[in-house]
Amino acid sequence: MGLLNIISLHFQQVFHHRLRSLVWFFIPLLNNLVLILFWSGALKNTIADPNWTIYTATTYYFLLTIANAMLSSHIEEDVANYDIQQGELVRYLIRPFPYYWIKFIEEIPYRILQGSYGIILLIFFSLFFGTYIRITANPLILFFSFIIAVFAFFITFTIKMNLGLSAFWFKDSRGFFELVTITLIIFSGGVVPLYLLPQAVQIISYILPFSYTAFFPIIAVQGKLQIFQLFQVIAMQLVWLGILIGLNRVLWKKGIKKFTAIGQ
Amino acid sequence: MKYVRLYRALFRFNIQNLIVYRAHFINSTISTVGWGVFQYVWIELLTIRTKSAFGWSKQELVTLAILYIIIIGIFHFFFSRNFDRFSRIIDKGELDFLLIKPVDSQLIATTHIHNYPNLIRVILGVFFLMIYTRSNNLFFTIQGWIGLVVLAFFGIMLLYSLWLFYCTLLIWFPRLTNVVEFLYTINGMARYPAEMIRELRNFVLFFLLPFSISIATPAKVLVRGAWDGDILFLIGLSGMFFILTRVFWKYALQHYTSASS
Repeated sequence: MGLLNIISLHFQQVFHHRLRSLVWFFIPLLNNLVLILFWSGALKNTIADPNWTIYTATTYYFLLTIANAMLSSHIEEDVANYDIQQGELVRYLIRPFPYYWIKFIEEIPYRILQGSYGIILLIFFSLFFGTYIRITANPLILFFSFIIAVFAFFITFTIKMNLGLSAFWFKDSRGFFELVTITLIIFSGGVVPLYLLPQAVQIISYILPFSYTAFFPIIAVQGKLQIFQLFQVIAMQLVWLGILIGLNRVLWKKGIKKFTAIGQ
Repeated sequence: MKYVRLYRALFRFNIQNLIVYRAHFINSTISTVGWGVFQYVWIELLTIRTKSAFGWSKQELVTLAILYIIIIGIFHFFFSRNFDRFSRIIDKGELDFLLIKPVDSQLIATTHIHNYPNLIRVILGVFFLMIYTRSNNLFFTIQGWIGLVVLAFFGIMLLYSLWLFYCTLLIWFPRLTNVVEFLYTINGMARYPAEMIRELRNFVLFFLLPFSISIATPAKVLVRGAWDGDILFLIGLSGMFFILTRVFWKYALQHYTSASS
């Protein structure tokens, strides 16, 4: 019951600033709408590919908007700037709750609200331009896609938490954060789907954890993966999650010894 | 003359700031250069299987993206850091300290801070342009280069006016801290041909057109030598927006209520 109260308080806070969340949602939306516009012109002069038509492109970028809003965590600056550098971490340390999970609870309402904006937009768009949106109707694939999406969120959240924890050692990590963000955009299929990239880049993308945060959840919902491929994706996500959580524990244990409680 | 002296003093102040906070400069340079390179990678990825889009060839699209790196770098160098802090200074009442100074409030609020790492981005863009034009045997006329410089000035003036317009709204909504982030995103519109918006003929997206013509028009003059109606449109729109946003800024200040704004 106490936990529910804590979650509900965070929801209240996020809903109080819902206009701010709407602006955050508009950022990926605008980016992806522009990409749909670009492809609407570019596809006329593109080498024909049955995997990449105006229908698949529209669906891909709409789902990418939802993935960016719902699955992409932005906790790193909060952890680095406020908690570690300004000493706010103290108030978390005295609570009977692991820091990782408190931050997780803080992040969830943002993702749910912004993701809801995305789902509302997708439903609205489907009503008027239904033929452009092509999502699998297979309930089993949808079920596994949901699991992939949940793990995708855990992966981005843990990556961003680890980035934030780097502030125990570095005074100003903004440049590093930005470089990771750029890498994440490219290798998560944030510009174009990974299957359009050269073979070598595709292989690198499938090894790195970033493709499991947006690209695979999207193509799973599009129905482009068979059941055994869905299991492969989930297995890879679990491997990466294990590595990232292990790294998180190491960073936390070593980093907390460097924390001086009045800011770094 | 007073403002020339003031701007010179601001330059000195910003250079001193840069020397004192060297680590911050290095960090900002890493991220700025990262985003600069990303713009190039972005358009290369988008055009990986495409020969042309909206009447622009792949080479023209890449040149447009490189010019975006340069022109947006100049814009960020002079202005964007000032807009970044708008929400904070309005919310905390720090705008008072700028308003009581015996100088134009708009000038001091929007040109106070220079962002030196973006000069590196401009240099990077020039380097990309040299390499790309040479490797693809592209040649531009002297009129094209002059047109680029003149129209880039108007493009930056248009972007400045648009940013100021949106940031002035913060006087009423100071907690909307992410408006500037949104502007950084809309700026990205300038990487694409303006024809993209025009061909769609969707009024909802017409608010993007000014952003789109700000860089596409100078780029078109350089790569195609196209001295068409877009030039007058850009000059007219930048002049009109500059006056409008100035009036809007003056009007908004009447509603500024300091720390309790």
